[in-house]
Amino acid sequence: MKPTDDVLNLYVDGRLPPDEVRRVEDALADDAGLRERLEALVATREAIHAAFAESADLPGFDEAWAGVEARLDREAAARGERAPGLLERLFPGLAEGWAWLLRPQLVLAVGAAAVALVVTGLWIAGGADGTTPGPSESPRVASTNPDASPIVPGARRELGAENGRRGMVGEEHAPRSLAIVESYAVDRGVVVVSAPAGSAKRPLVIWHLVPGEELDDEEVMP
Amino acid sequence: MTGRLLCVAMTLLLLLLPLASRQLCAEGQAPQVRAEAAPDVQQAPDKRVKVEVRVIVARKGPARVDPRLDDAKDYLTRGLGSRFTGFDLLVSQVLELGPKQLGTVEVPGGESIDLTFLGVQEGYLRFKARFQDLTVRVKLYEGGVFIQAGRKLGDGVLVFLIGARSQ
Repeated sequence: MKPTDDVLNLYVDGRLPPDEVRRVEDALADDAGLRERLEALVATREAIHAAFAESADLPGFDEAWAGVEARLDREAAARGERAPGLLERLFPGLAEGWAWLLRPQLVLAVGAAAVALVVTGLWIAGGADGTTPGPSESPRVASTNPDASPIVPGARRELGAENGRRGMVGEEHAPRSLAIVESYAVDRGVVVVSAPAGSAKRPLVIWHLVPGEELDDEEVMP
Repeated sequence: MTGRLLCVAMTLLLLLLPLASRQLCAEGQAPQVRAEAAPDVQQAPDKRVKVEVRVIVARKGPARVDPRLDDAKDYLTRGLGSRFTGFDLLVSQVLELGPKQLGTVEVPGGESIDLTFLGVQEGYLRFKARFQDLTVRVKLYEGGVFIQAGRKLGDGVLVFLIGARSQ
């Protein structure tokens, strides 16, 4: 069977399997018309490649588009108009149906609402348990709930440690706990609460470490 | 016109959102707040506690434990680890405190530790302890013990061993 143009193109591209290649070459050896057809296909492909090579020397798309943009901007400025933004260029319908989204009043309103949201969120986080410090206590602790109390500047805490557990805040009802730290307040230094695991004879220890004194927190870790 | 109305509606919704979330948070935490605010005195109006406070200096020097601390040696060595080998008892004092009552134990050097019995809550004896600039609130199980330590005293470290039991 005579090879088609598609098969010949694959042959020229070297994408035919070996048995197909042999079959095409046998056909070419026997058929002068087929050889002419193959030469015509090759000539056409070379002409196309040459045309693409010439187009590669033309100015690039980016430069061309930049020139078009600059010209549009100049024309708009001459008419006293604002140059359209990127979104408006990409989505021309935006300027008609949804332009109100870009109004400064709306942007301001949404911004104010976002600020209110953040401030209220902080307000919630700071006072959710409804407790306030008593006048006789350090004002640095706003709550007796260790989770809700603010981190004291310069202090570190590891509250909730009890009978071998560390960082387990909120186990106030564990029946075997012998001591639990509810909260602390400190003006300087760090507070480390440690409770070595094991029997009840390993008590909870509240370390108050002040920089410059003998101990550091590496030493007090159980 | 539609745009303006939508703008106003969106702003109002965004402003109402945090108020609603605060209300939800408040509802979710209500039991905990009630538990914290519950007056302990109502649970045990006449409850009094006996608090034993021992003021100890711990040193890294020779392994010597004050004989008066024999019964507390296990607490000290297990609580403080092997970093200290010497323990001397400076002060031992028993305070009998009623609800909201403050007791003070003098510490050598002119300092003192204040202990306030805050009351009983769900089986725990609650205390506030203040020494120098540290204030802690601690809950002790009946017969429980805790240690407060870390400040330097002379060539050692000051240790408070505090235990409490109701009377």
